[in-house]
Amino acid sequence: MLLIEALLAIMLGCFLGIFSGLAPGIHVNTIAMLTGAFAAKQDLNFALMVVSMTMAHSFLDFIPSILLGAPDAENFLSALPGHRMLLRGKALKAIRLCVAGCIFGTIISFALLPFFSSFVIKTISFLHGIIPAILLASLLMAVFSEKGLKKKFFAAVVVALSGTIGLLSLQSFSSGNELFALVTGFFGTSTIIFSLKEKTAIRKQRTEKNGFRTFPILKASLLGAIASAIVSLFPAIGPAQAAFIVKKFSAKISTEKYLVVLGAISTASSVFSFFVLYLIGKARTGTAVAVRNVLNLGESEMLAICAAMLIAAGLSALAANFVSKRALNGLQKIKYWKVNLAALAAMVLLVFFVCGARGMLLLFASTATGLAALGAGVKRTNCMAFLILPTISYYLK
Amino acid sequence: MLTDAVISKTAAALAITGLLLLAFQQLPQKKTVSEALKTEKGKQVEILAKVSWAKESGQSVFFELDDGNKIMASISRNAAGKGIIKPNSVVSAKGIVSGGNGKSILLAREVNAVD
Repeated sequence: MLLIEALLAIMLGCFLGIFSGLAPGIHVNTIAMLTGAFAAKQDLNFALMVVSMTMAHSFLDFIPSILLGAPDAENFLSALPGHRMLLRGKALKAIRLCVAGCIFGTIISFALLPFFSSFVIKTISFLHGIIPAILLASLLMAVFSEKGLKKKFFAAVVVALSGTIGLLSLQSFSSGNELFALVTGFFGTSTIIFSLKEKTAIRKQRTEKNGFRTFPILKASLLGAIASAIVSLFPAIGPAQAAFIVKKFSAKISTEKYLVVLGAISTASSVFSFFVLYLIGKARTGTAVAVRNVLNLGESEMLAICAAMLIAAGLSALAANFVSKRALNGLQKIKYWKVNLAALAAMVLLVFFVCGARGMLLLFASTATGLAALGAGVKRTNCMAFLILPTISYYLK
Repeated sequence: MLTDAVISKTAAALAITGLLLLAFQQLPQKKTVSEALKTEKGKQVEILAKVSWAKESGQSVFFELDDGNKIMASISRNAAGKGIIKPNSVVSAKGIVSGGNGKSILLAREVNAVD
């Protein structure tokens, strides 16, 4: 009976994660916080649902992020790697590469756990002391990695704007939903508005079966998993910084390998976030906070969570392969700008209903900053300053 | 070569591994009585303990903890009929923990004498 209850919770989590992954703008953190309000204390099944949802989301959210919000072909070089493949007619291959990264990222993360656990336990007190310096360094590296003085200047402006928005909103508002509005604005609505402005039309997509060489996929997945393990030790930095680390330390990585890295980072970050919660009691992600709020993680609970992660990873990979081809066929039948417009409307409505008028204000400010970054051609990881600066200020108080 | 079929098979293998791990996690765990008291509601546990007090019918029993405290257990008729629920006898009891931390009651479905 208990096994069936646990399996039902995992299946529900997978379903919610697939939904949140496919629906642009809906984040697992939002669902975890909303459902967490109804969860009983020490409810392991709720935790299993949240963990499965997180894993499923990390597999499926590549589909809308590759298929939606692509810029015009003239801006090919400034496009995200997934969008570059979409503009070449290889969106399905891009999704499959991400899914392969997700699968092998999960397996490699589990293989790395013994080393990760002993490293965390030995170094955590030292790491705690250097968190503000590491966060500041990550911001500076993001700014100075831009090419040319002009871009460095614009990146610094984006960091200053995002940081100010974060400092003002995350400390003075109390609804707890402002993070949702900010993430949607910086990375969701701004991308879609930019794409709409350019009247992008996507070319016919190739849908033949793919085959990838094993070793490069495994190597890219290992890189992604190691980078995720490193960033999971610190608050406020996440997959974007992990991807940045990989790009910095692996010379000239191809678009295809980079997509595998992104996939591996996405799932490995989820795996390590729950392990950091178990090992040191620190919640580095919204879903880890939701789990911490209802459950004291012991050995037995962690075993169940590992099982949920593996089941959800397997099922979500199959779901992603099933959905991607159909989504792509559907996308080619309707005008691209109409799909983007519908996604934009859904995001704005969701922010309005979840966060109210204050959320709309934050959405407006963060969208404008995201658009400024896109317009200036600088990386949008600079917008992460909205989370990094308040965290630095918290640690320095 | 990693084809779509190989990736799908790997995904299926991952899900099956998770399922086996979950089944393993759900197996009853042997615990000391003190550990059982800390176990949350709804968990299935197996404990080893000395019976300190039992009703004549044998259906309500206090098990003595290692630290001298006692935990109340409700024993099913099936288990009570074995005649082993008597003060100072050492038994193993398997069942579901009911109640919150520190106030746990064991709903024991199976009780066996320990040599």
